[in-house]
Amino acid sequence: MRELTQQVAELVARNARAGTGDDGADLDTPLRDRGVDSLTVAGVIVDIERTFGVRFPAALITADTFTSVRSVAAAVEELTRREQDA
Amino acid sequence: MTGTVQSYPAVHTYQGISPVQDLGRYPTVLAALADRARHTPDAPYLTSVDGDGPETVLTFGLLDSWSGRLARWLRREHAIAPGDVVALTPLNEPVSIAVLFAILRAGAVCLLVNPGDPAGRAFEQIDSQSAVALLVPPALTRERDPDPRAVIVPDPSQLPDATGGDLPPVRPDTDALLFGTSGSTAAAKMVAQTHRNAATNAEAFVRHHRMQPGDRILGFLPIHHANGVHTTLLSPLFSASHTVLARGFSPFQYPELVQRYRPRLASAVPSVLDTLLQTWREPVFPAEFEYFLTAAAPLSARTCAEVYSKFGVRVVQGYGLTETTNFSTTVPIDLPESEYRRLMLDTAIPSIGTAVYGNEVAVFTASGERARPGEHGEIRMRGHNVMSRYAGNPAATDEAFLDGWFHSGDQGYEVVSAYTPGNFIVITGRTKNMAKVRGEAVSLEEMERALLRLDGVRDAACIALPDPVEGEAITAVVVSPEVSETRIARHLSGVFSANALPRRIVFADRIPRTSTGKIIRRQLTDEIGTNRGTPATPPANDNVTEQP
Repeated sequence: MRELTQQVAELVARNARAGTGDDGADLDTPLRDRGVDSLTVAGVIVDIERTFGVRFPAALITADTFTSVRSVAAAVEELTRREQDA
Repeated sequence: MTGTVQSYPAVHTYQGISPVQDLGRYPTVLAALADRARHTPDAPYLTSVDGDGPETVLTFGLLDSWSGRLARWLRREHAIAPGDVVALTPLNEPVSIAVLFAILRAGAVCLLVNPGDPAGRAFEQIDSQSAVALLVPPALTRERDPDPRAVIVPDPSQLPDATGGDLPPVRPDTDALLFGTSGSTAAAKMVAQTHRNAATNAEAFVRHHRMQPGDRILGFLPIHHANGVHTTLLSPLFSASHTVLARGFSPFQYPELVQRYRPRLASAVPSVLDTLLQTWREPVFPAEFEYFLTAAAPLSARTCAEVYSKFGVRVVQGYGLTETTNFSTTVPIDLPESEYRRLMLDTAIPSIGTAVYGNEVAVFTASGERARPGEHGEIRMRGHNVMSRYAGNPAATDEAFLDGWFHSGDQGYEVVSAYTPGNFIVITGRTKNMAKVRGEAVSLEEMERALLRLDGVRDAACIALPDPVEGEAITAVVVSPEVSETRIARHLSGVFSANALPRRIVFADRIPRTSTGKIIRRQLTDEIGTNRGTPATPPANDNVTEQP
């Protein structure tokens, strides 16, 4: 889980605007404060799906899922588990 | 204030029709509002949707009432007189909209300022136009503390009716709106649009899109921009259509808005369509939905084709500059499938369509001759939608209006179609040294100057690279042994609005320049563009960068 969270944090940073959110950000820092906004969040979604081989269903493309690194990591964890169970 | 239309009659003439003759069904948008309020006061004019919060419906009658009260408040409490410039930092919400109309009804000129602009940039524009007041809607004060010089707009529902005397008559040839352009500096080129400009654009929009009373148009673009003002606020008054205006774009909210409000068309920009293509899973469009209208940035053939195949709807591209009010061209909405395919899908660059009513659009070669179809040159416009002038900058106005046409600076060519009387236009290149980030024009040179003002920055250059999310994204290349990425970003955020900030900051040993010192942007783009997929590699700490 920790490794997954770290990967999510890196993918978020890759899509963030230069020079934002790199000081003092933690797992619960809003993605917006880390330099991810309503357009760049699409890049986060695509990168995560490619990296982890998952696909977010419509029901998970929500503001709640994409609140923070922690909430995104939890959704990815859940999706990965579902796909393993399937 | 006025008189400039008479000074430049050729650039303001449309197919021989004098610039002082009205082309629209109403001479001004205020005349249209008065007519709506008289005949259909209870019909919805605009539904404002704020995030997950409640919606607010402004009827034509309520807009008339609120804007009338606020106009009298402006005259009574702030002695606003006809011809005064009043600045406004609007949000996409009802009080901002009502006070915008109030400024116009008081006979004043509304200077639209981006609420995201840093104070220095905002006041540079406000002071350059000698604005007598800066109005801030209460909604903005809930987000941050207002500038001490600002006047907070009162709640119009609490204001008295009809005290403060009659409102002045407003003539079509007087100034209505001022917009800053992202030219060399924020204040240097301030576009002045008259009431006639606005009325012409509204008439053209209603005709082109065949807007009917009650037709819904879904928008979210900010109303401090020309597109937001004209497409979502002013045009509906001419057709009695109904705008659904979101506070902003959210990929999490947008699909639901389309389902709930069932618009006939939706106003967007290409970067938002790209985002929706990636985030809207299981897209379903209501039966009423006809097309997306995009403008402000070039639409790629790939985006257009993916919207067509995945969403099953067309993208109708339009084009215009603030200098031409809003739209100069738009793709006809009823093109046969084969022609839409030829001009928009099976092509390298989708067309921006044909000239809309009220303005002529033509391509001119470098020698100043009208270009033949297929021949490249500069796109120029003339007609009743061409701005009156750059306010306070006659030299820039003279240059832009040379030879009786407005010189857009954009490059393109014409394409003949059997289905339209006028030629289609294809844009091949935009004004140089400008980036189009999310539809917002950003001057690369202005950003370079801002970077060079930062202590410790030895040289800097900015380039615009294609970006799947933003249309174009700015990369700032900085030569500095000691300044960190964070400090540079913080410095720029004091000068530019958040949207305009560079996506990447890259450190380099040198900026390629010609012998005369000009930045060789193509070489820089080649050097930087090859590894743009990875984030900037800043110095490990604040003082480690190799020097040559």
